[in-house]
Amino acid sequence: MSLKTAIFILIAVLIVCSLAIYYTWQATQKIEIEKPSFPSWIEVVGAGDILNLEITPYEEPTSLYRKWRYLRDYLNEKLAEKAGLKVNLKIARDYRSAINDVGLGVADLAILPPVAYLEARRDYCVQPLATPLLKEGNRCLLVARKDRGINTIADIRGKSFAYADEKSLCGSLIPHKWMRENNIVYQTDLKTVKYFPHYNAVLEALTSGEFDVAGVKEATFKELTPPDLKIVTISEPLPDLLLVGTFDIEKGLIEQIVKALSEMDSETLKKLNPDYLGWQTVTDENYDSLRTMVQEIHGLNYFLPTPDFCAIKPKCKLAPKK
Amino acid sequence: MKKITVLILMIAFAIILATGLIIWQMVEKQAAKKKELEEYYFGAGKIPEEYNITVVIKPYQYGKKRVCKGVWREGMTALDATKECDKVANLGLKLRYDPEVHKGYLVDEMLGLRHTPENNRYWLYYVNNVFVTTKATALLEDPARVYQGKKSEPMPERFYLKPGDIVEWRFEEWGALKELKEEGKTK
Repeated sequence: MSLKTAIFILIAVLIVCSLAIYYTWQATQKIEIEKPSFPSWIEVVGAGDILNLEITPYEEPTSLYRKWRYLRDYLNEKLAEKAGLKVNLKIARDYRSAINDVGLGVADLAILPPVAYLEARRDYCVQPLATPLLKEGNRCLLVARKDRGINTIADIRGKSFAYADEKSLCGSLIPHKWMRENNIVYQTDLKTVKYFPHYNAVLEALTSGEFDVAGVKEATFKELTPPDLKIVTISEPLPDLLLVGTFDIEKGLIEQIVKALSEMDSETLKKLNPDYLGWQTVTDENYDSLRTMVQEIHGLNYFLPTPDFCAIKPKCKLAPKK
Repeated sequence: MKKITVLILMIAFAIILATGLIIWQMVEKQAAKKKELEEYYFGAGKIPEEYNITVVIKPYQYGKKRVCKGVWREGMTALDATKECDKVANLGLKLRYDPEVHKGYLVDEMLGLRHTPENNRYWLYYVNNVFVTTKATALLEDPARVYQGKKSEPMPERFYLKPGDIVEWRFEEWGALKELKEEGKTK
């Protein structure tokens, strides 16, 4: 074989291989999943021993599913050993669905952000079980686009603000607190405001240039490290997400879940969040300072229970009336 | 010259091998991602978004709660949804028609539980956590709960559902309810 032919073969191979890689790359970018047909009615919670765990969609649902499946797998392993239970994982449609589902027993357990917990406690008497411990605590950030000249909280006057769900701590409550402290009236002093379903959508609105400034959870910001954004201010450590159980969840089961969480190995903790140190038990009283904050900022009274619900559930222990 | 030719051919062969490896990895990665998405959307225990009516049966200390989900259809009543739940979950639903006081159907028995003088409990129903009585005006006067010109009424066979509703049957003590009624706290 002559050198010429060999070079020709090499070039041909290069072209064919490049094309093959290119077309395979293109084909693999598109993932189509076929939706199976389903009956018009199904039984979700039956007589069998299944625990439904629901996660509030504070971040993009598929990424949340990827993270929290480790908790499902861990609980599956621990609870199957002791109680023969199987844990199912579901990401709720929105904050309100998560509250309703765990409140009404569609889900047995739920991961709720703290403000959503206050509402679920008031409306449905859900039980706080445990919260993850973070290295530096759960902090909220005020983040802004680098090119909008925002260096302090006062600079957000006249800018557009991207909120997360209205029951979000870092995406709504704390930004309102900062505005209040700086005499910024969000109804009049901001150019535009919009509520987004979760932190990922909020950060996307900022990076795309659609919005100027937003409040987000530090852990989410650290994980995504979006470009062209800077941190304007950082909050004090605040209550984080917590695992709650339905009003009527068995006491023995609570003990098993809390024990399993307190014994969680560092590898599983790292998979859930690299900054998690462990889980600690919580009581409703731990959230009284947050109740006061919500009352001051939004004028909502989470100290008072919903009378109908709690009157017919005498065992339901509520926060003291204020 | 021959050595260079062989070298070039070897490089070409290596490129083919590397391409095969890259393509194999891409396909594997896609398959893994597809599996993950399928698990996320339709894995064990997943509930398709199309299910927009929930029926919860709460016997409290008398047994385990049961939950059904279904697809809403126009004119669906709370009783229709409960009957559908009974079909898939075998609740042992028994109805009783009361022609005098309520002029409608009452749930007489579910999950083997019925009212006795000892337990003093009845199967009472709530929609979105609100006890459905004539006082539940926000529910009854909701324009989305009108079907063929007929407004919703408290009896389950005349209460029209709308997508997203949660119908809850609680096996409750009559006393607690009576107390609430006296205090005027029922919605």
